[in-house]
Amino acid sequence: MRAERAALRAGNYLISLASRRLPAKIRPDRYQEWAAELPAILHDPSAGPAPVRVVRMLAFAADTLRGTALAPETYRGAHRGAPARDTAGKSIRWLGTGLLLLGALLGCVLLLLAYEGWIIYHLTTGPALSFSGPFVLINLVVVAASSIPRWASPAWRWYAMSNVVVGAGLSIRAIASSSGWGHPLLFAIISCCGDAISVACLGMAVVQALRHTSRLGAPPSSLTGR
Amino acid sequence: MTAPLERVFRVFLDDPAALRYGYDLMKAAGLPSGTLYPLLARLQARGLVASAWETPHQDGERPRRYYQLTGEGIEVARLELAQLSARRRRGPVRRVRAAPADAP
Repeated sequence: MRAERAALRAGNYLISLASRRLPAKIRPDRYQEWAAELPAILHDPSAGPAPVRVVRMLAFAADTLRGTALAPETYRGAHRGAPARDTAGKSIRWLGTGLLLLGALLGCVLLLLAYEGWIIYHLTTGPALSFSGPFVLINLVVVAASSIPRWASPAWRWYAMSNVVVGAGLSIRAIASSSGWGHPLLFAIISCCGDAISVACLGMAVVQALRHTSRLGAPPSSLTGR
Repeated sequence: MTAPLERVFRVFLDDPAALRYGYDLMKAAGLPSGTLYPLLARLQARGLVASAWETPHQDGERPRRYYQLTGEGIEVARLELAQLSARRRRGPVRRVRAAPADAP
């Protein structure tokens, strides 16, 4: 439900931006109209699975913003089909903004992939305390943050815990190999156990994420009676 | 008449008595909101479409605005669509050029 609220907030924000471009007299009216459509789209069972509905709802809000940005005078009732002034310039600006947002999204995906690649590289090249120590600490912070009610997210908590376990296993192995204490095989087994527990935690993260998505798909009773 | 306007008229004329929400119109006409709402505003300004707020059925439910063609709107929509289909039946006007041998 948290993701649903966040998506609704994002949609409401876009719609508030759209209505700000309109004359003050009709602004609240239009805002109310568009804001009422957002939950209707989000809980429309014919619109596909929950993630698709979220995308549709945000697309609705973003396109409404585009509509008011390109022809705000239409809503005053004065515009009767003539092209809006400087439409080409506005279209170019919108295209530029869209490309920038797309670039930022691709950048985030690449960053995430690089991060995962970096973890895998360290897992395959052998234990190094300089990597596993900060890795464990950062993920412990994420586990702690995901326990705060405001940011509570079981999927993130399990994901961070999987990283903590794998990092702890690597740290133990790194300490043992650098000090020469104990049999290396024992610590290799401990590290492998850590990897196995980490995979189990990752599985739990996926299960939690799927459960969350299915909860997002269920329409609240207040909207099913319409 | 533009293609979006034609689609909106067709959706309205499918059942002129039906009350249509913006999102329902979007789905039925296959138009994005940024195209549909300015179009509805223009039609409303011309008096072809009327809108009103529905009464929420339950507490906490947001009222939604619905749209409907006015009497004049129904007439204009039918006329415009009839003219459009007549133009389409006639097809595009072709210019026939005389063959070089026939030319003086």
